[in-house]
Amino acid sequence: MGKMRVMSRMGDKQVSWDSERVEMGDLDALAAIKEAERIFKEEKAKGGTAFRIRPGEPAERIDYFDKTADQIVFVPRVAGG
Amino acid sequence: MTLPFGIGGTAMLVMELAFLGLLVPLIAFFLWRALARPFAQTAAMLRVANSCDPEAVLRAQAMLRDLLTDEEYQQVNSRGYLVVRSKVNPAQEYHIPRYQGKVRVYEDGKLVAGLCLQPYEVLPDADVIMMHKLMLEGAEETYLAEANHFVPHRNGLWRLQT
Repeated sequence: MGKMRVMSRMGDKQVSWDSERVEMGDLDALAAIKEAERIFKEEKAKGGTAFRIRPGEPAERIDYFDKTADQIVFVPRVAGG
Repeated sequence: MTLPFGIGGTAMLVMELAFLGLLVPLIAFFLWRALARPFAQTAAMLRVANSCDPEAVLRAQAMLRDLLTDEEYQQVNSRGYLVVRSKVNPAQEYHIPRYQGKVRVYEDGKLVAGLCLQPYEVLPDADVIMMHKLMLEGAEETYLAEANHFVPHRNGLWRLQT
C-alpha cells in the first residue's frame, strides 16, 4: 500500500493506493492512483515540496508522483522567517 | 511678576524635566528588550496552539511518531530537539527545536548560526519538525537558500546575517 500525506493546518490529508491491485487493473485502485496524482500536481502547483520516505533512509525529494513509493509526504510552501 | 520657584528653581525644574525626558525612554527601551522576546515567543506559541485544530495537533504528533525512528523520537522528547547531520558541510549538524523557532547550526560542537524557515500555512509543531527534517535531508541546498540566516550575538540574541 502506498500512502501520500499532505501537511496542513487542519491535520495531514492522507491518500492511499494499492499498487498490486493497480497492476491487476482494479478500477477502484486505478481511481485512487489517479486521485493521488491529481493531488500531487495540485500541491506542487501551490509551491509544496514532496519527499519520498523509505524506512532507515534519508528523505528524498521527488518532483513527480511515484506510485511505487511506500510513503510520500508533502511539505507546504516555505519562506525565510 | 515673579516666577513661582524663582529663576534658579525654574532652571532646575527644566533640567529635571529634560533628564526625565531622557531617562524614561531609556528605561522603557531596556524593559522592552528584556520582556518583548519572551512575550513574543509565548504569543507565537499561543498563536500556533490556538490556530491549529486540536485534532490536527494530535494527527501531527502521530505522524511524527510514525516517521521518526525510536531513537529520533526519544531525542526530541528528552533533549527538546532533533539532530540532522549536514550533507553539504559534514562538520555541521542541525538542531531542530521541539517547539517552533530557529534551527540551530552547530559546527564541531559550537553554535555558529540560526536558520529561520517557516511554512506559509500555520502548522502544528510536530509537522514543523518534520518539515525541517525532510527539507534538510532531501533538499538541504534549497533550505539554506530560502532560510534567513542569523549569527549568534551577545546576550543570547541573534543578528541577521546580510
